[in-house]
Amino acid sequence: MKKKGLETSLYSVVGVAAVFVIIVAVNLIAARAKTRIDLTAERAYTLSQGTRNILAKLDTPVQIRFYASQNDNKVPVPLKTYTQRVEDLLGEYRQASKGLVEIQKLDPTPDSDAEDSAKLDGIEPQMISETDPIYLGLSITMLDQKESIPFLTPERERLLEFDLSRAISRVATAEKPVVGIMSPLQ
Amino acid sequence: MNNILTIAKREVRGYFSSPVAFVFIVIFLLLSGFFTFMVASLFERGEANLIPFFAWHPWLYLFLVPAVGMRMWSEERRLGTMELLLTMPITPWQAIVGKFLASWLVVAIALVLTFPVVITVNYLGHPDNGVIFAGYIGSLLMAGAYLAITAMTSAMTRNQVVSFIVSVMLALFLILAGFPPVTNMLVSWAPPWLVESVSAFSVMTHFESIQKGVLDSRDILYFLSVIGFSLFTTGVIIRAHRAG
Amino acid sequence: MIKVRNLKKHFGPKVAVNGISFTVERGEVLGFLGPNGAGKSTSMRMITGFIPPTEGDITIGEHDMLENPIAAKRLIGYLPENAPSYADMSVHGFLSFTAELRGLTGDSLRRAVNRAVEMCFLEGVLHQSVETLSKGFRHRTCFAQSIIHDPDVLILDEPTDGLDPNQKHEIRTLIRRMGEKKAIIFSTHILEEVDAVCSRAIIIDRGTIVANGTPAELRQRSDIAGAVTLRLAEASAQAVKSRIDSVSAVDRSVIISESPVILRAFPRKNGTGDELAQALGDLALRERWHLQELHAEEGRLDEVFRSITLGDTAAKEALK
Repeated sequence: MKKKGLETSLYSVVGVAAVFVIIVAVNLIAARAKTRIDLTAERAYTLSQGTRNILAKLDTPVQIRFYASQNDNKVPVPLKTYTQRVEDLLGEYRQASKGLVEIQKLDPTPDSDAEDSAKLDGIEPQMISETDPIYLGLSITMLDQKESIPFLTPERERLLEFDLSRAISRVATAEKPVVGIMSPLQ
Repeated sequence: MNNILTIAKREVRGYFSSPVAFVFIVIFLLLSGFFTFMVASLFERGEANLIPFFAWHPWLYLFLVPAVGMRMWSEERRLGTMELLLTMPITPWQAIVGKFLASWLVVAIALVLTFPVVITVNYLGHPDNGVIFAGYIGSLLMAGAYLAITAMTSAMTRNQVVSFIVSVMLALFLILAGFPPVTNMLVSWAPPWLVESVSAFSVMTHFESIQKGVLDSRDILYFLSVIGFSLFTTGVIIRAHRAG
Repeated sequence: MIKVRNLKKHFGPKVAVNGISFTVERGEVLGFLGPNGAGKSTSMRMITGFIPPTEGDITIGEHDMLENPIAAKRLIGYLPENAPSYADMSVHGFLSFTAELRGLTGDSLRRAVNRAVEMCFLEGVLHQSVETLSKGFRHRTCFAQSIIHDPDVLILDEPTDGLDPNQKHEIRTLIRRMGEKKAIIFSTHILEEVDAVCSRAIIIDRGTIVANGTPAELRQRSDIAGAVTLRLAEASAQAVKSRIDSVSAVDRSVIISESPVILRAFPRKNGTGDELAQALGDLALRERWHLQELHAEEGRLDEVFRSITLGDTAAKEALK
């Protein structure tokens, strides 16, 4: 009789709702302990150890302003897909930094605040045609230190992680290393 | 375990002894070919990847998969064979899982038969085959999720048409949760955690995530959750019908 | 072998089965009789484990159907109402499938299928798809799956439904034969089947058992049981009647028809049909009647059935 009681309640609307809640909970918990298998040939979605080290050392938030033109008609297809990949990589950075890296995505349309901000950050557009400037760049800021990558080209994709991490590392280090030149004594 | 296989075998034979399986496979291949090459202009893109190919799967599956799965339990009730099946020395779960696996296999066969597209792209360029492999996994999982939902709706009603319609609506609901127009609309007034939660429910979010070439445990868990929950509910519905 | 105790089933407010109890041992064939909607099929569905009961126990062999459904179901062969089967399979495919689900494999599976095919005369349609079969063959196919694993218990819901007289005879013979070693329950509307096949019968009405006994016992409950019917080539039924009524063994008599003259005489409370028949035969001799037929009624099941089930209704009406 006890078995019947458990069964009846399990198999009712209540049971279904309970199972639903449990499944959602499991998904939420598992989100913390995620594992990934990166099948891409270039392991594009796995950050290198070097990058992880840099991100681990962060103690202050880093703002990344990602300027990308969204105008569907004007942006060439390869740039559009590259934009997506850059965004994905930035997402990886944010996750790996446990939120210390903040990403802001902006579309510098003509006469917009975003366009002004881009100019201030030193982001230069490419002129694809006579009249259409296309933006694809980013600026990295921590406190009062700023680095920018004026234009991200697909050709330089393989170095993207390197460029990004180096920029972050630079703004995180308050002082720039002084490079002195030693010349041989006369 | 044997019972699951016995039932699955019977179902697969059933699918292929009627036009259902063949029609599904042919239509799927034709439509996916059409969308990939004509509409999404795989060749013109000049890129060696199958993004345009996989991008259509959620929409193709939306209508085609319920068409395959809608007869799963409706037929049993119509023919009266439910009474036979459930008085056999098997558990209802064995029947539920067996039937589900059989229909999943039919869809998997259709997927496998798209291999010419893979060969084409490899011939024309140097695609990332790891990404393609991930794409197929994602597609298969998504199809499984739709199928499980259809299993549930077909257990609800004797009428296959109703089962089809409800199933399409549920799947559509899951797709739209992560659809850019919907999320953009949400972004304007909803707090970020809500927007993220809603899109976490969406098939599209997880499908596209796998399409990037990464098998993330969260995405796989999502699809398995949809399948698990739907099949469990199927069992509840079947039991409720009998209990009266 | 089959033990049913206080079985109840409610579908919402409607009570379909209201406390049924009985047992069936090996070697017994129990007939389930009852009007449509009485709860026969529902009871069978509970006994075979298809529907869970609202209350009550069902034990098959040593296994409780609710605690141990798989073990219990293994012992049962079931022929549901309307003899369902998978339309898209061949007869052979269908029987093999059910045999597999019953746990048979390889050689023993092949042998079991062949045996069932033989017993049910399905050789001719073995490779035909089920949906192309006539009703009779479909019925026999479903019957075949119920016996394919040679179960100790058979539950058959209207096994001769829709069959022609020859087929009915075949199935009844089969059931009777199997009944020697198995515990069998089958439901029917055809009361002559009960005599032909059952060792015991139950009449179910409105979810409860209203009669339970061997066919002979049930027949005794008939008003007609023990009465003697006469057919005579005489002119006046009334004249015959008044003579008959004067016989001491006769309680009352009834004119069944005027032409031909048929009368029925009922015995006194303690009289037997034989005594009455004797007395009336003597009377006919003395009166020099042209007696064409004289026989003692055994009672008819359909009459018992109607009086019990309709009587039930009338009684309930009267109480209102």
